[in-house]
Amino acid sequence: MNTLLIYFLFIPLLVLILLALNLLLATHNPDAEKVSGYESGFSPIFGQTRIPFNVQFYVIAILFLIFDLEIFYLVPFTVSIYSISSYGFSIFVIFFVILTIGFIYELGNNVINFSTRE
Amino acid sequence: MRGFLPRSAQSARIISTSMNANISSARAIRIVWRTYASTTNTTKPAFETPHSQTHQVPHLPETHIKSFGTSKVMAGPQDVPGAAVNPYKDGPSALDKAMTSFLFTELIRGLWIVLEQFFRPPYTIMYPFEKGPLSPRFRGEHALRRYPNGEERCIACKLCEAICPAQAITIESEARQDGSRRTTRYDIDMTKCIYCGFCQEACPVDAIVETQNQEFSTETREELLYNKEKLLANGDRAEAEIAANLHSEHVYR
Amino acid sequence: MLQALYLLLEGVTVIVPVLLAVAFMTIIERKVLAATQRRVGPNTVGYYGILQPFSDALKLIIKETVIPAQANKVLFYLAPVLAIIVSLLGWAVVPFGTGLALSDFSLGVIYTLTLSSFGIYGVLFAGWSANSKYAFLGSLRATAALISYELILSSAVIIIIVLTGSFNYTQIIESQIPVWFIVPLAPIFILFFIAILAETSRVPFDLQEAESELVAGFFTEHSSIIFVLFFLAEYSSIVLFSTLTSILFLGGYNCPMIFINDTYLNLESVILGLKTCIFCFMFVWFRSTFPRIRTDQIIKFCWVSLLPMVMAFIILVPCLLVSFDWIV
Repeated sequence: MNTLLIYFLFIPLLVLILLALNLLLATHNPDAEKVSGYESGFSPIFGQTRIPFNVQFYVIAILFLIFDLEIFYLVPFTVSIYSISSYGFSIFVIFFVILTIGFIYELGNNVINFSTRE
Repeated sequence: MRGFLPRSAQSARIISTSMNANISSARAIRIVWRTYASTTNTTKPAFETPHSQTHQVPHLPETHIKSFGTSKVMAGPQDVPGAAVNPYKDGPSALDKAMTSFLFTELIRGLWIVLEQFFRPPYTIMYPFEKGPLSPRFRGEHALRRYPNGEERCIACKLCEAICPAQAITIESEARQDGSRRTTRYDIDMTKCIYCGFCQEACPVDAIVETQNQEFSTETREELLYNKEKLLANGDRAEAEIAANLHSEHVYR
Repeated sequence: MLQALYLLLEGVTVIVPVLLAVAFMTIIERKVLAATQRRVGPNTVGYYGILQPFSDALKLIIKETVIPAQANKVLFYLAPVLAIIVSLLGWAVVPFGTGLALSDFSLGVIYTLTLSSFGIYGVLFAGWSANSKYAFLGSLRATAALISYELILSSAVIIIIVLTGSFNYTQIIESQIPVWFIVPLAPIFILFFIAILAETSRVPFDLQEAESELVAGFFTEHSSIIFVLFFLAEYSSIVLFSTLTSILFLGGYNCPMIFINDTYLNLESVILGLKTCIFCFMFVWFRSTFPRIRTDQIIKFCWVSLLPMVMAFIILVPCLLVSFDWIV
């Protein structure tokens, strides 16, 4: 029972109050034209809304995963840098350099190019 | 950032022609400065010195860096005809490009210009309370005029109906009781009218004119189909203004 | 439970000014954009247009929420709710005075980074649930840009933690009493600011919303209250990240001790507010100055230019500390 718990309960309550206000105060008359998707006047073709997408997005997500984990491995190092002193720092540099070699390889292979059509 | 391109190209042309035509370099610099100054409409920021104006980079289309020194270290075949020309010879050096890239020179210049604009007064006119100037020739709402003795001017010659490009005017006429030729029906469909002013140019007696009023919007379409009473009433209401405008414009018509 | 009511009152004391700040941020953006374009912004509703955001919110609340056909209803409502909850939860650790946060969390920085990562789910769900291929592609591009700049943001914050030694925001501010971190870490401030511009999808990185061009990108299909929640979430992130910038780089509520404050008024929060205003103005200033960059240029810029530089700084800053014998 501390402030953060009450806050975590209060914020969703606030948002739900806003949603409820809209439910109460607004009209709800969906008709066929209103609920069709917006495509500048064209009617959406059935089956084309869940299309396959470019694999580049997946590549970026995987790369983000790797480097985000690397950065969060750095997090304990940054707070304990004073107690680990130079020895810990050199371990950190070795870890970082190994990952940087991987990064150089990845950049050199030009994996992030959105303009290919394959 | 690309906007620097035409000015430097212009200045470059002036410099190269000056070298060919033996104009003194001081005069060339003045011409360059005037070209540059006339094509910008912002005041120059305080930290850009006039020294930068004398170092023009002639016709290298990909650089926007004008104010730094050029690299003079590239030797190689310069005057041998048919030799390969090094395209980077007179451009900014690698150090200049690095400094621009790391210190965001042109970005900061853009930000400074925008910040100057932030402190300047706006140009906005608060419309219902302040209105912009209108010329006496402005073509707005139509009106039918009268002579000073009260007689209506329109003699149903139907020149305005004939010339109207949108065929917005409808006229029916018959003789009045005292024998004069007058209209019984003079309708202007303001929703068809294109406000071109041909009718007021065609009228031989200055009966139909366009006033300066453009604020006559209504909430129903029917109110915008003007008939003769409405037009005459417009004319009676605005006669002084119409007369003044016509007097100031009559030498041009 | 009287204690719960007191704690709720503390929460309300933080959230109500924050919501007001977010509401006025929208009108400030419109007025400052207008001023840089030599025109006046909205000036009819209140004095100088001050009440404009309330009339906008009222209008949007009483509008009809149109859910597209065959949209995933749960995700459709969940996405903006998630976005705004995550945005507003970030204010729990911001200190408005010495130790005066809603919770003086000892892992405050990690809390903030987690919340900003979590907000990306809102974007992803919004595009997917709208059942329109353009909204979906827009949200994919937005997500790709957001996760790429997440790396820069985390790294820049990590470098500050190296100088501070603690994740607690109050501790970070206390350690800036000698000198504000913007003085030694100016390049990292620039990287952090670029990352923040991208995280909140602001110009020059806002092709995904591109309000004048793509209708509205991934939240095209979202109408009244849903749009209000996204809008509030974006502006709340802007104000939150401005506050975090002023805490991390500009010394938070530090200022030279001119006089001893014996009153009950908390002047430190006013100082924090003024520094936040500087960065909020810079957000709008950048919006009115710069053109947009294409999405693939955004992502390429992050991975090819910014990420190597930030990695270099991650190595450089501890190296400097070691070389000057601060870490023996």
